[in-house]
Amino acid sequence: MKKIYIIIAIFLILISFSVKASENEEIMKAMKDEINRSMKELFLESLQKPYYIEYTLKIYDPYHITSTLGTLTSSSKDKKAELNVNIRVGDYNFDNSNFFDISLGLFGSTDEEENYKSRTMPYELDYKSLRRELWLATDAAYKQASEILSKKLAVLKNRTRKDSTPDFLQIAPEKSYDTFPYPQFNLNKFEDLCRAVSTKFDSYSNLQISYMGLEYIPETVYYSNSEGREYIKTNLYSGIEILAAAQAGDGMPLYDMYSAYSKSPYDLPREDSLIKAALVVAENLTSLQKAPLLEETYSGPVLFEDNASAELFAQIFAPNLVVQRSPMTESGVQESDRYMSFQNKIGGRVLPEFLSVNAEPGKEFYDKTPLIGYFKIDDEGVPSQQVQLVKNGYLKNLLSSRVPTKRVKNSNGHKRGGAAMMSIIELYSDKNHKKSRNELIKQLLKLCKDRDLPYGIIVKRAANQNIFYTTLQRVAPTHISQNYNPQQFNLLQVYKVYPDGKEELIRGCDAGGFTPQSFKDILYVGNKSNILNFLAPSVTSPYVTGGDLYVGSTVITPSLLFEDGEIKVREDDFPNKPFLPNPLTEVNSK
Amino acid sequence: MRLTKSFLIFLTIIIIPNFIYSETNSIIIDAAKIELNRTMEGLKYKELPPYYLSYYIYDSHIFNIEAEDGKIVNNDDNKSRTLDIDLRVGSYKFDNTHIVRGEAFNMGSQRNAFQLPLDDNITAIRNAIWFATDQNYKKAIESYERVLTNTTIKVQEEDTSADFTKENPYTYFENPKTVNVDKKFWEDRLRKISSILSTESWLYKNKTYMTVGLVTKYFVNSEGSEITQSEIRANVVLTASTKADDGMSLPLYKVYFAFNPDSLPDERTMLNDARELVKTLAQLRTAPIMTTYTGPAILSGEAAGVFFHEIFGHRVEGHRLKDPDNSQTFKNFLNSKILPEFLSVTFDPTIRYLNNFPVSGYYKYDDEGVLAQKINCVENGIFENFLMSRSPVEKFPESNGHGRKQAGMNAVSRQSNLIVESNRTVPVDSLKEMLREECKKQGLEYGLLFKKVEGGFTFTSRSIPNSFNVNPLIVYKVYVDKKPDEIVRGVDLIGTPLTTFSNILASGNNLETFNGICGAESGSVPVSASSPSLLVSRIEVQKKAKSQAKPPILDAP
Repeated sequence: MKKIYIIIAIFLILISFSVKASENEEIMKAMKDEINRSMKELFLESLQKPYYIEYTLKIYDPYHITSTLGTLTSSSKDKKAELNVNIRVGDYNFDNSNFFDISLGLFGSTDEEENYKSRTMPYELDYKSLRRELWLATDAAYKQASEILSKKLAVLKNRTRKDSTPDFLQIAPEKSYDTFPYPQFNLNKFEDLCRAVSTKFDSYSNLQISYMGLEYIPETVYYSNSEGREYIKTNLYSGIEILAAAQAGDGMPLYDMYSAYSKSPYDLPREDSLIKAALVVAENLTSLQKAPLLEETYSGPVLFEDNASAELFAQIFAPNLVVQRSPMTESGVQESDRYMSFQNKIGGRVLPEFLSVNAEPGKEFYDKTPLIGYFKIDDEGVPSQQVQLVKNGYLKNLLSSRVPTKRVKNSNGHKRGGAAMMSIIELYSDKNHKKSRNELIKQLLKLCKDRDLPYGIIVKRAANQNIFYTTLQRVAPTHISQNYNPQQFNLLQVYKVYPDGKEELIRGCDAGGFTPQSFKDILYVGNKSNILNFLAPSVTSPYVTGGDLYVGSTVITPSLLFEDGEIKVREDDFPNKPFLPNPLTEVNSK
Repeated sequence: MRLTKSFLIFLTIIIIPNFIYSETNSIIIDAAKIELNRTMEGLKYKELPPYYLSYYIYDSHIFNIEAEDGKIVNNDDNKSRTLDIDLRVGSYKFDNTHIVRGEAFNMGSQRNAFQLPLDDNITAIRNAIWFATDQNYKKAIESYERVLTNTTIKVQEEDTSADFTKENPYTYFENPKTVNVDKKFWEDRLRKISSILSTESWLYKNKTYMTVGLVTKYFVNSEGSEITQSEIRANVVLTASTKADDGMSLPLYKVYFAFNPDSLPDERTMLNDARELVKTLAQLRTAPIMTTYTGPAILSGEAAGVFFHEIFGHRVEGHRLKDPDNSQTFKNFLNSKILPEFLSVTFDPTIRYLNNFPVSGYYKYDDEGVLAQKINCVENGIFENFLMSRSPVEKFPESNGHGRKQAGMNAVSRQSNLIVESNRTVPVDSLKEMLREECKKQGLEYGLLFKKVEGGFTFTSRSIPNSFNVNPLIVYKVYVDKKPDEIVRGVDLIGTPLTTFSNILASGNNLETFNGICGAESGSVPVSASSPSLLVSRIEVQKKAKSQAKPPILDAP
């Protein structure tokens, strides 16, 4: 009997695989057939034919759950399919790309039919219906590509082009497959998890807002281009965010957050760890409410440890390690200063000589912790490559896609979410500069003494940019300073450390003036690595690329002791506290 | 600008069996009442205490299925529970909602909806209500200071009526409704319909969707009202579009509305309508372009309904009389003739069906907790009444149950079920003959028949011309010499209200209904407009905005 069951089970699995395989073949065949037809036949009189066509079809099946105080506030799933068509007219040296047309690029065409970027499609696909969608989207993409090329040529009629870097890198065809069945999402189980964790805030009537969000986004990506490159890959992303907000006695808005990300939802921290994390957030805020203020802006040595060192590196330094090609516009080449510090710095020193940085996109785990910056094939079907970015303090390379720049000519398989982007970035040190926590604090206090400072500063936790802009602004907009300056690094947990080693929690301060150049002032690092899985804001604006706002990335850093840093006092006005007590006070007192 | 175009954004709601109605109801109402009393009591001794507070909780479950090309694009259902707060400081006569004059960016009607927990946990619900109320109170105090100053520095207002009406408290309870939606059944049906809408290679776009929703609305206020209403709305919308060779986009749609998905038309009817839609599109894509025209026309009942909604309905929304920038078209026409004496216009939110046809502007209590009332606005051509919310105007000190809004917005007076009635009708078939006669009189070769419209918009501000624009989808030329009617494309029906009213000559003995969503400053609300066909001696059409994109270069694969 058992045998029969097993045979039936195997048979069913085989059927499901063969169905899936034939579905994949149908999708890839539809893409290839429409590419072939369009490469041969698609052109308008007097305009050039496309030299390159690329289709990216994503089918994703996301789940989102949010909760507060032991109850759900939303729970949804929203299966979708989306098509992106990329057409290039001209040739590899000079085509319609690397040109930003404000009218078409930002607002799109006024003709509603011309929809080829993030085009919503049926998720039930077959050869016939997919061909139809590809046909319409390709037509729209070709017309717009031709228009943009003519605009780019027109601009150059009155200018002399200084940069002769090709617009696109030609590479040999290759087929890659990285697919596996999605882990099924147990909705009830995860809803219960959100209830169980968020209910831990019930006993904290001093907190005004508490929130837990959980999401799981599995997707299958089908890709084919006219060079013969193709791939099918499965991507998974899972995340949990816990957030709470309160006000101190003087009205100062305070918040704290916790996040955890992984590929599979079953690799997320378990219930007991999440409960602990929620309680830490609640306790941190409770302590902060009573903590004294930083009296005046501090300038001196600063130790960033734990999550704060990883956030600092992830927000200030790492985004500069990504190649950016400044697009041409009607008024010339548009230079942005966002994360551009290292574009012309290859060969120069960017860190102290005892520090190096590697990109390790192929690393799935670090000490058993799953890393969400891990991937095998990038969005252009190029296998991800390990890259030595900084060696002994000197910049060696940048993370790149198939769009070459003056200094970086080749792709190292880092096109993610629309343009070149981070993957897993590890900062590491030589042996001599690794110190234990006690040794780092000792060094910090020594520097303070040399500068005649009564105390030093240790930063343990810092705000995550993604959670700040998405979740915090949505869930607790009342707790964001009106004068918030994104250039300032928002700190959550800061301590004064006195010469006797006593640490005192303080509130109301942010890091000011930290730039990529500040990292040259690192004196020593810790002897343990902090892993930060996070959703990194796209380095090249998604408004230009049409890609994703955030890309799952990882940074791994030790604690960092800076010789000099500035910790600023928050100077904005505080909102009044609520007029009536939190109803939780009444309930908890019963 | 008001827009009735929104057939494509129908509200959707779904329905899941709820086995603990009375308990759920009491938890939501209890949480709201406890916080309401606590707020009124707790803030009573503040410098500016609230004089009025209401909580309006929308508990909704929305179910949405969408198909294209015979395949499913979307199938989801979402529950949400949102809270709207109306907190007022000052007095009924003058409060924080008073209109601010002279500000370029005075977006006063926007208000946030607050998300409430979905589970029936009274503490969590109270916590969310408490925090939201505190934010609202702080905003109310700020606004009150602003309006006080604004009133001091500006000239005396034309309309000095109070900011808020005093109303009797209402108590009403109905059990939350339930509905079962068979997702597979509807997926299959939508696949079949959208297959038909993608059969031809020249049908470039199609979308078929169904939405079913259940919304239970809980309302409590500091005057003692306590209302629980529950409603189901189901829609199926078929849309398809093609392009003429000159680039003009030609969309068509078919909408079905019912108060329960089981009452929607059967599959055969929908499939036949889809085929009919494709046939009409085939005619439209090769139809000649209509040039600018002025002359007589017939508006089908559906077109006349939208026409009345735009040119009349938006001008009898009472709160506009308070706005110093509004043209207030009918303010001085009270008890005067504005329409031919054979026409009357009423707004009746109390009916669910008109001639056995469901009308979507139905509700029992409006969104300010006032009992819905039937209002005769025009009786035998004489203008008699405005639609009133709780914002009173000169001579209209009370609400007549037309304060409406979308969740998260401030209620203003809005339309419900508009009904144009005639006491002097002619057989609808004879209208064409009358049209030909009128054309002959005016020396014209043809008149126009507006058979189907997409929606329209109108302007009521003083700073721009007070015109309206109705967007026809199917228009025929009706020739005087009895040549067959000819379908044409590419025009919008335009005009100004008072002139157009004076041109109505006759009405048919039919009644057609247009169910749609109306968008205005208080958001999108479901409305209907019903009218007989009308013959108008002179209308004007202008060229429609047109896409410049060529049809696809290659043939369909």
